[in-house]
Amino acid sequence: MIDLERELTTASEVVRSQVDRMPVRPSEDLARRGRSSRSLSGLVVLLLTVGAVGALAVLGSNGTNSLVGEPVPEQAVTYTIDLPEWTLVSVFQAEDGSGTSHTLVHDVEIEKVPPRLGVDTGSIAVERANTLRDLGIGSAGTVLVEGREAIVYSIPSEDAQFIAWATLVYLSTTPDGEEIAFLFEGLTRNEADQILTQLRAVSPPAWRELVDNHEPTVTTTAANNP
Amino acid sequence: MRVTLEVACVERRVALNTDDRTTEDRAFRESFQAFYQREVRSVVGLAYVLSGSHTAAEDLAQEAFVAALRNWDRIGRYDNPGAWVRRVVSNSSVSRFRRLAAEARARLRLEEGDYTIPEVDVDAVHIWDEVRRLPTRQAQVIALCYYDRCSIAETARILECSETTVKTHLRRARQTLGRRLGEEKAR
Repeated sequence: MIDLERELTTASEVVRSQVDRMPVRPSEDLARRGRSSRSLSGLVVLLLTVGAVGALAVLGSNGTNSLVGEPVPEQAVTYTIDLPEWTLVSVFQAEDGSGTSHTLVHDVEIEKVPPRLGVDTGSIAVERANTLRDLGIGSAGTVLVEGREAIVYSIPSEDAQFIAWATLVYLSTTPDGEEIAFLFEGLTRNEADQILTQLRAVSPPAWRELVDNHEPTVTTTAANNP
Repeated sequence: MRVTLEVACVERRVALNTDDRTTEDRAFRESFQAFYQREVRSVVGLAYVLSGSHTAAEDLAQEAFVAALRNWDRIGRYDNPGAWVRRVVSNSSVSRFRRLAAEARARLRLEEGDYTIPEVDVDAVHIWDEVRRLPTRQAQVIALCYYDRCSIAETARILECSETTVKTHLRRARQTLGRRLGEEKAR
């Protein structure tokens, strides 16, 4: 038998003592960090846009298929655009990081604004989207999606009361032409239309070119209909 | 901070329709700074035990404080703004892609100096590794109750659930951890 209470207490004390020894970034750095992440973002986007074209060309398929077969909320609208080599999933998340999680793609949590906040998800999301044109593409990283590496762009919000950022995940699709999917959870078609318009305005060049050259076909998905 | 605070103060003056930028602005600025200084280490530690990443922890915490600063007019009026920041960190630290993004940001900022947590004792690392293997809510409850020494009621407020739910998560987490760690020791 182990003394779990003691183990957890000791492990906690160890971390606290180490954190106490950690140098603390001055609070004045907070805004500078926000600005630097945006200035870095230009370079990051440039590099990743170039890199993404090459990377996605060698990645496998099934990006869009991963969006199929999962329960989706009523009113969810999926734009399906016949575009080669790209799949895009937009993720909106509450500022406090909370939200009902819908794992539509393995290893990527897609979260939405929780209804308990008492705000209309759609209108907030549209307000959020309206700010995107003024923002650069934010930080970048990679995630594993169905065992494959995907590129993450995140867009920090300056003003949103509830939504801090949106993350756009580019997934690979087959070179012979799968689909690009914009999944807007919990939104009406009209709201999703507005967001798509705004997203076009802030797209990195490659994305904008792809989006602008194709008109979406729209499928409204019924609740819990795979 | 200066720029963001100035923006926030200007917005506040507009909202209040006042041009008095001295007393109120100073109080606004000082209140956040005091809050930040008081809470930052604890919040970084919480991010660490939940994310397991030295490099991402500070960034995850800073992200939460930046969010608090942007909305300080609202959050600063909460009874416990620290609970809000902990909620943000508790949620973001368990999100795999947000942790990865934080690590990417931290790597891009290496030139700014080392703000990562010093190396933690390997036994403690193992315990927290096991905690992170638990279901997300259970891991959050353990981190808040043990690392952050939150009461059941405080944990429930941070995670926005009932105290009964916290107790349930705590009991199940202890059972699982006790079994796993006990089996290891037996080997």
